[in-house]
Amino acid sequence: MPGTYLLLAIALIVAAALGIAMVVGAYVLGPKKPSRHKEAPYECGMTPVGGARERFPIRFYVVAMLFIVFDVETVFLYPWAATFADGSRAQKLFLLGEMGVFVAILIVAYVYILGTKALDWGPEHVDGRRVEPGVLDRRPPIMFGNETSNGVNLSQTVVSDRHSMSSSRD
Amino acid sequence: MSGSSRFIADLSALYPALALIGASGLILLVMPFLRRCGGNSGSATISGLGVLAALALLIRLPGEGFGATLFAETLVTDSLSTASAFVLLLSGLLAVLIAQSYLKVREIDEPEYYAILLLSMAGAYLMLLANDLLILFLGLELMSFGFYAMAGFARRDGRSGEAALKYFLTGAFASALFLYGIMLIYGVSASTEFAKIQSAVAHGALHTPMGLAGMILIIAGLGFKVAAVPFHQWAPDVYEGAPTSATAFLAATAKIGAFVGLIRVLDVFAGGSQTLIPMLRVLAIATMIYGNLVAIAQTNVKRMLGYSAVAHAGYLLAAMVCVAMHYEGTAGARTNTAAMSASVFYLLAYALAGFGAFGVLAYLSSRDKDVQTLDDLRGLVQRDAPSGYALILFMLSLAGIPATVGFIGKWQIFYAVLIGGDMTLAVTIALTSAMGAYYYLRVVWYAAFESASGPDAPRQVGLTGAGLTVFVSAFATLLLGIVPGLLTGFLQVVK
Repeated sequence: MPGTYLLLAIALIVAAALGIAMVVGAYVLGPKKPSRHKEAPYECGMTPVGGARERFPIRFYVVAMLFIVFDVETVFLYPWAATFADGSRAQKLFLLGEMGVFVAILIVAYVYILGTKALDWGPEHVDGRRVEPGVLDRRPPIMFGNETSNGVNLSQTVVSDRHSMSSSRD
Repeated sequence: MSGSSRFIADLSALYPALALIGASGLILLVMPFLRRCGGNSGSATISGLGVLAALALLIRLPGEGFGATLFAETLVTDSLSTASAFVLLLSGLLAVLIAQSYLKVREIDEPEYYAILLLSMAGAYLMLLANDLLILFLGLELMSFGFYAMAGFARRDGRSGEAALKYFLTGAFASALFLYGIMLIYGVSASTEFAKIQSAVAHGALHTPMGLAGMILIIAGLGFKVAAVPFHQWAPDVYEGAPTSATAFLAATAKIGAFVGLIRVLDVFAGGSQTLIPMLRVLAIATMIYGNLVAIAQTNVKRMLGYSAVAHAGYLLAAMVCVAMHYEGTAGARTNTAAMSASVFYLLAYALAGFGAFGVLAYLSSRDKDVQTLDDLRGLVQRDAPSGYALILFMLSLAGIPATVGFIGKWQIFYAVLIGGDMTLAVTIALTSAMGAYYYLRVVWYAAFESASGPDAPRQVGLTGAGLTVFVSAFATLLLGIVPGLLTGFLQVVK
């Protein structure tokens, strides 16, 4: 079976070459205008450095919880579907009932989520008029660091004090 | 019987729990949409009807199935489960009533409270029927999760959040201990089923260090839930911080679930270990003395009742010692049965007095004032005679004064201890009861003989849910105190 492993090796080499080519190509060809934001380690769009006592919109947690509800449903559905085909008629009926109960409980959760408006994002509408959520108005500006380390407001400051890129502009 | 018809037949034992869960689901489905068109009174109505339906289904359960195991030996229905489920559902009814007005007064009247309350009760119900350590754990967790959420339900009150967090952290720790105990017991018996563990215990499984550690951890985990010393630290803070309606509910329900669970576990472990009875005895004595001693120093009535809950857990633990005497001859068997009946009756007595006392606090509370200190109760008899006299009655019942149900409960436990021939325990019960009388009677003194300090805050008048709780509890406390045999048909535990 050396032939199959050869194919695997080729795939590995192509993948490695492609990765290296992209990084080197970007390094050689790309324009370089570093800024403080670009230099920072990538953290999915969050502020990478600062105190741990940061404020998150509560919706992140809501979404994380709802995700778990429906993600776990899928996790259970797959093994259930895989064993469903093997059973006798009576067993299949029983299995169908069991999954029906499980899904019904999740539907209760889903309807509850709808009822409490947990899935309504963005501005609220009252009588057809748009109401700005008051919470966002009072949000503090996004900072590097936190309140104890006299953080820098990213939305206002032009950064030019880093020695490694003193000639660059933001 | 074929598999599916067996399944349907077994399911009937769970109908009460299914009624509770169904009512909970209905509240979650309907109430968020109805909330917009005003009011949340529907939640209390639905949950009240749900508990009543569960009670009706429980009473209709066939009696001949006693001692039967269900669902592949994981559940059992016997007189213990039926009697304690009766107590559980009665206290659930009082919990719905007390919440109905108190939540409105505190402006935390959300449908979720009732949904959580019903689910928590369903968890406790499962604990009562458990015939398998894992089912016991499942019920314990379902019950406890509800408590954590209900303790923190007054979101704008910092102490409520503190109570929820403390309860959650210590409770999670206790659950971990319990689970670890299950694992060790599984290690020595290769099963989580009570019957199989029992046969392993008969072959000396508890004489190994692993089995002994498992037994201790399981008892410690349940000891946390009933606030036995030294696992009691969460109790005063949670009792004080949680909304009064939630405090009343968790005080009664946690005891019912955990003590019945403890009875079942002790039934399995009894006779297999020399350390079991001395260990329980130390727990019981420490809990009785500590709870009563520290309660004396309290000026906050909710906190005082928290320590009093610790003390009452001590009396019930004394009954547990007698439950564990199962294997010491015929006297042991008699002690065991007497102690089980006494425990169930005591749980009812404690639930009635507890709901009554917290009900008075809830009844007196207004939007601006959550009544909970001794000063708030000054001169209550002059200001509001019915609630004042009711409070005095509940304090007497908690102290175990004759003509109240509390006396009958305490007498039954005392009697079981006497049959068991444990003089140390008997003397401790008598002495600590005398100690307890001091702080209960101090509330009576404040309510009856001190003069009111200031004018009343304006509050809801007329027939409120909390008022009804007080009335029902007071009526039952007196009636069962005078005619204790009234509910024997439901409450007697037979083997």
